[in-house]
Amino acid sequence: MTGQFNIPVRVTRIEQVTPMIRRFTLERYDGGQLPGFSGGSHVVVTMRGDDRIHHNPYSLMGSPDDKRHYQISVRRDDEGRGGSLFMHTRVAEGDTLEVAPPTNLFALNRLAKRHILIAGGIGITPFMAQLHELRRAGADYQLHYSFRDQENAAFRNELEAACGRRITTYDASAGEFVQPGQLLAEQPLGTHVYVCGPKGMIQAVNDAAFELGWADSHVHWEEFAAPPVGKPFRVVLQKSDMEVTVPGSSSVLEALEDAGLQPNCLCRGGVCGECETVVVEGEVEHNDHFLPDDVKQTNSRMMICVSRARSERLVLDL
Amino acid sequence: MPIYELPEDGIRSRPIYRPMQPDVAARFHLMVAEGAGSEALAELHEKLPDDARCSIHYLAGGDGPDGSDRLMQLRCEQTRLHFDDGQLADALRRHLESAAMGTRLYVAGSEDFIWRMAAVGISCGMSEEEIHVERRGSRARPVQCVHCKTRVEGVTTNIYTCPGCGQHVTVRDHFSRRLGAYQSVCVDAEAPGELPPIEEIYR
Amino acid sequence: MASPMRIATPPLKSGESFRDDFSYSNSPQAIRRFPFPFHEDKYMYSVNIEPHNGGPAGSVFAPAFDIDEHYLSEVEERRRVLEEDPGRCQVLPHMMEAQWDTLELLMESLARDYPQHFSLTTDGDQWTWENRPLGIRDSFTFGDPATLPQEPFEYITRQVQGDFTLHGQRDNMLYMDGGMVTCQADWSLDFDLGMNWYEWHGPVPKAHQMGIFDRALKFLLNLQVERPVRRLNWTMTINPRMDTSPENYHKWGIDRASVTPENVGEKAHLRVELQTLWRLPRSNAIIFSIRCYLISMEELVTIPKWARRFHRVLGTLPDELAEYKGLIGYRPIVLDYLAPFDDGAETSPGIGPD
Repeated sequence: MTGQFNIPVRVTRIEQVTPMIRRFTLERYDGGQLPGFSGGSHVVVTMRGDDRIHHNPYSLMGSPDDKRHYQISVRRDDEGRGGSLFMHTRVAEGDTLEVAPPTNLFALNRLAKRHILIAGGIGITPFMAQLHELRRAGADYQLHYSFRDQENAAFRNELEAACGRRITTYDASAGEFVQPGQLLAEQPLGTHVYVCGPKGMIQAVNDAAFELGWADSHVHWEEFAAPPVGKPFRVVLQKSDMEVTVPGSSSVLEALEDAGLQPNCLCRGGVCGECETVVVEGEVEHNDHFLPDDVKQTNSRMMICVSRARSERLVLDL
Repeated sequence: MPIYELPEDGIRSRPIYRPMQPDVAARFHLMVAEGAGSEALAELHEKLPDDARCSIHYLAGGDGPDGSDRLMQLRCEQTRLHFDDGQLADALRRHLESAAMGTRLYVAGSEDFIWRMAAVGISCGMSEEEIHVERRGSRARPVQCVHCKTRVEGVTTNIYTCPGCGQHVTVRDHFSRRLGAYQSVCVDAEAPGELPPIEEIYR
Repeated sequence: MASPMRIATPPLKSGESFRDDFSYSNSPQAIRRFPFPFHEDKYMYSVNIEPHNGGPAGSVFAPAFDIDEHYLSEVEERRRVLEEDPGRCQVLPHMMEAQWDTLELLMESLARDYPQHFSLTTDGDQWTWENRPLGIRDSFTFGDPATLPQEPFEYITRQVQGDFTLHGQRDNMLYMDGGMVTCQADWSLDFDLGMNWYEWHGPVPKAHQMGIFDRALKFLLNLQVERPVRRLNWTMTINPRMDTSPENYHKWGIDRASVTPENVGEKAHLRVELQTLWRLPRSNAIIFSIRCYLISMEELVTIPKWARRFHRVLGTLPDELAEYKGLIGYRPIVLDYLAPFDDGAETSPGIGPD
C-alpha cells in the first residue's frame, strides 16, 4: 500500500459564479510551479474538517498553460457527504488546502476528426480546460451546454467569448434541451462525443450513440460517483490482520485511512481502477464504473473508494 | 485490453483471422473484397439482418475465382466492380469521406489487400473497432525487409532472398498493421552462408 | 537500503567510438556507478518498477536524465546513425503536443541537474537553450516548430544520451506513437510505429503468460505527472556497440560468432537499460527514456561482488530467454571466463559494489 503525495496550496481567489457554484483559484503554498496537466484532468482536493477529512475530485478548468494556478469549481450540495458544503462555507481566500497531482480519465482523442462536447450544469468544467487545447490545435469542435436557467448558466459569457459560433446553449427553463439523437445523427466518420453532466444526460447520449451505431471507442463520458451513503458494516483485512468498521457516511477507503492505513487510490470516484481490491469473503454493492459486469457478479473484486458491502462483513485481501 | 484477439503463444502481434461477423449495432455496412474474398462477403451478407443497409466494392482477380456474379446477385444499395486496387482504394476513400458515424468497414481478401484497405479506413478517422478484416485465398505473406525496407508481396517460403539488399531473410510472425506486413530479418548473420532448409509454408 | 554512497561523476570524454575500432571504455569511476541490475544470485524475472525519485549523489539514479563521461561520443554516434538512417527518429503527426512536452521536460531537467553544461532561460514563450558541451545556443518560440532547426522532439533528443519512445494513451491502451531510437537492443521503431502495447511487446517470450504485461499496462495507464518510475532491463552485446538495431543485424550479428576464451573479457559486454517512464503534462502521453550502459566483462570483474553474482545469474538464465537475448551461443565462454572470479562466497544485499 502506498499513499498519495499531496501538494499544499493556498486559495487565492473565490468567486461566487452562480448562487450554487463557486470558482476557487489555487496556487502552490511555496509559490512554485504546479504540475502541468491536460484538458479533462481532475485533482483530488483534501479538506481537513474538524470532525472528518474530505477527499473530493474536481476537474481542472483553467488553462493548461498556466503553471502557477489551478482553477476548480464546486457546486454546493446540501444533501451530500459534506465536502462541497465545506468548500462553500468553511474555505476563505488565504486558506490552505491540499491537492493530489492531476490525473486525466477524460482526455480528448487526438486522432478525432471532430469533437462534440456536451455539458450539463457543473459538467462544463472539464471542457473549459479542453477548449484551450482544441483552440490551440485548430480542431473542429462543437460545444453544447445546457443549464437550468439563466441564473445558473455558469461561465456562459466567457464560454461564448471563447467559442463564438461553436457553442450552443440550452436553457431548460425556456424548454430548451440537448437532443442527443439529432446532434449525433449524420456526423462524419472520426467524430468523437464527450459528455459530462447529470446521470440522465450521460445515459441519453450513450443511448443515442448506440442507437446510431457509434462504436464505443468514440463515446466518452465522465461521471465521478460520490461514495454513496449506506449502512455501516465491518471489514476484515486478512493480510494486515485488522478489523475496521465502515460508518454509513464513509467509504471503505476512508475508513481504512482513518485507521491509519494508506491503500492505493487515485480518483476516489470509481473510475481509474487504482484501488481495485480482492474480496475474499462477503457480498459487494458495486458503485464503480471500472469493473466489468461479469467481475462484479462474482464478488471477487471491488473498488474500495465507492463500493460498499451488502453483507454485514467483508473480508479483503489487504 | 486490446480490441482484437491475440495469439496464445508465439509472437503476439500476429493477426488471427476468423470468419467475419456482422456488427448488428451498425447503421451501414460497407463491404470490400478482392478475389476469393467475395465468398467471405457472401457469407457475411447472409448473416446481416434483412433490413440492413450495405454496399459492396469488389476487385476480381488476385487469388481465387471471380466472385463478381455472385456478389451482383446480393441485395445491396450499390455493388461496384473495380479493375485495379488503386481505383478501388480511391472509391473506398470517397465513400468513407461522405459516410456517417455508424458505418462499419468489412474487408476480405489477401493479407496485403485487407490491411491496405483498413489503412484507408484508419486515415478517414475510423477506429480499429469499426474495421473487420478476414484473410481469404492464399496465405502468402506481405513482408518488409527490416534491413533495406523493401516490401515483397506474396512470400510463401520461410526464407527468401530480398530483392532490395540481396540478403537471405527469414519471415517472422511479428506483424505491423500500419505497414500491413510481416518483418523479415537476415537469417545467416551469425554464420554467413549457413541456411536452414527453405520450405514453402505460407500457401 | 544500503548506506548512502557517494560516487563521483567522471568528466566528459570525447572521441570514443562504438563501431570499427571500438575505442569505448569505462573509467574506474564510471565502473563504480554502473547500474548493475541484479538484486539476487539467481535469475528472476520481475518488472521491478520503483519510483524514479533520485538516488545516491553521483549515481545514475540521482538525476532525472543521466549525463555521463560518454556524452559527447554517444551524441556523435547518434548523429552518425541518423545520417545513415533518418527513419530512426519518427513521430506520428498527432503527437506534436507530446514533442513540446518532451522538449520542456528534458531542457528543464538538464538545466537543473547539470547547470555547468546546460542552461535554459524563458520569458513567456521565448526560450533560449544553451548546451555548452555541444556549443549550441538557440533561441526559439515554445510551441512554434518553425523556430527550431528540427522538430522539437528530434531537436532535443539529439542532445541527450539514450533512446526515447513516445506513447499516446487512448481507450486504456498505450501506442508506440514516436521515438528516437539509435541505441536499441534489437527492435525496430520504424516497424513497431503505431503498434499497441501488446503488439510491440509481441516478440518478448514467456513473461506475458504470467500476466506481467497486463499489470504493467494498468500501472502505466495511471502514471501521474511528476511521479516518474524506473526499472532496469539487461541483455548482452558483443563489442561496445550502441546500434544493435535489427536494421543493421546483418552487420553486427557476426560479432556473436567472434567470441573466444582469449577475447571474451574485452568483447562481451553486459548491456543495461535504465528505463524511466514519465507522464507528459499537456499531451497526457507517456515518454520512455531507455538509457543504455555498456560494461565489458574485464571491467565488470573489477567489482568482485558483481563478478560472482553475474556468474550465478547467467548460469540460471532459462534457455528460452538466453535465446531471445541472443547470447545462448557464447554464454558458455562467458561463464568459463567468470568462473574463476566466483569463489562461492556470499554476496551482500543490494546492487551496489561492496
